[in-house]
Amino acid sequence: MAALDAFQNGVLQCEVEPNAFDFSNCTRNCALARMGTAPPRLNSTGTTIVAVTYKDGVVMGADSRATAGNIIADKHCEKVHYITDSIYACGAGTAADLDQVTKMLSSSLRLLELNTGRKARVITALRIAKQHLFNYMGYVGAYLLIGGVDPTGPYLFDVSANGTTMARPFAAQGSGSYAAITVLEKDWKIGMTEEEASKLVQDALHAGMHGDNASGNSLNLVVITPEKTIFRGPIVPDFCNKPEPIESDYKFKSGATTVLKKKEIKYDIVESMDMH
Amino acid sequence: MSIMSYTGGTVLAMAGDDCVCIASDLRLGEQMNTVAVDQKKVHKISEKVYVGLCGFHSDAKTVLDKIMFRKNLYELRENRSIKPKVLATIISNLAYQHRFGSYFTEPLVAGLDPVSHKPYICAMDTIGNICTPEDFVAIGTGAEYLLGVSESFWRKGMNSEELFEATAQSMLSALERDAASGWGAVVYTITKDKVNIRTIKARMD
Repeated sequence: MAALDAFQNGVLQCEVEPNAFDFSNCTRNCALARMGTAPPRLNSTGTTIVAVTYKDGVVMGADSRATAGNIIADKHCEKVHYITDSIYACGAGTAADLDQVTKMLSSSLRLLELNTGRKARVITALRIAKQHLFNYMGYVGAYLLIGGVDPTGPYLFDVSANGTTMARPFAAQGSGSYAAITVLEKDWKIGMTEEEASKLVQDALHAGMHGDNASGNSLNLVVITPEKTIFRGPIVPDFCNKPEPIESDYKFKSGATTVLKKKEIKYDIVESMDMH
Repeated sequence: MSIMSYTGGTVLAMAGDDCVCIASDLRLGEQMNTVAVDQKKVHKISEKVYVGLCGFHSDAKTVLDKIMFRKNLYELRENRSIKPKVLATIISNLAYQHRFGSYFTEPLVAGLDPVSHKPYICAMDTIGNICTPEDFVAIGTGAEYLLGVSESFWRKGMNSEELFEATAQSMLSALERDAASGWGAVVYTITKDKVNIRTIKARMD
């Protein structure tokens, strides 16, 4: 019985502890790596992410290309992640890590808001992110720009995967950041208006999308002010459109493909009430 | 040697107007050898929700068992059919739990919402990053070839017959160029009142 329990606990480990990483495959995977097998490619948001503080708030933006090696895995990937109504995070790095870390931040902050009865602060998001990422010594590949407005004012922070954080007036991250930061360094000034800040973020993103092969397709923007948050996107810049529409449609005649065997499973549609 | 191409296999899913098509090849290999010619990579999870699992076959089988376990518990607790989007999140979380020491399989979810019959397709990498394009997704050794040819064959708003032809022809093109997939293809066309399972004539090498 004890042996059976031990086996079941092993197999069901990730069902029993839903909030922890399961390392049961590690021995096998390390052995495979020693044998010389190449590890699978992970989706990374190669990316250009940009954020800028202006007079009243923060404007943040990101492109929308997710790559797996040199293949574009997703043309419209969401890189501007919702944390709370007035805090957003742009993410670069390993895509799965970013999705999970930002979801974790969002739930933690929501629970904190409910428990304390106060609006969550940007610095809290930063601290939770930093403490999580440092714990995994950089192996959770999440590079975030966390920005937002809370009762103490507008903030922009930059978090690296190894846990380094910095407060900044403007920031760019990702593989396209080298191109984007040049635009920001040249044109950012104190006390910009919302239109100027929005245009600056878009110009910086365009620079990244032009220069970096892992950024492109379209861009998403979010403008966060003390009164409201406006999410704008997807915005497709002119140079990201197909130059001409495809000339001929590939329309196959019905029956073009030879079918060897066919099976049809019919379902009766039962009228159902929409409970939404 | 890459572990993801050890057993071979390709799956494609396309979304149309109120319908989805999901296609898989039938080859199971051991690097250069072909070991089986009847291994589908697409599995029925519930009436309108199908999952494709490519990559290393052993891990695909293990992950399928774990998906069924979680889906059964979900349906028992909630007393309703699982939605494809929810299943995708369940699979993503399962994959992310194995972030360090991952299963070598890329999941793909395709199906119709059980209530609204809206089509849903998505694909994930080995650690569960969900990509939800509106048009098509491809996983496996022939994914690169499928992405190229599907860009040409897919149009917005195809009905189920047109979608079947587009999916089948894309799959056949990919099988021409991918040595690790082949030995026939099977295409599932899921619409709100029926599922058509068609085995199509393909090159058998």
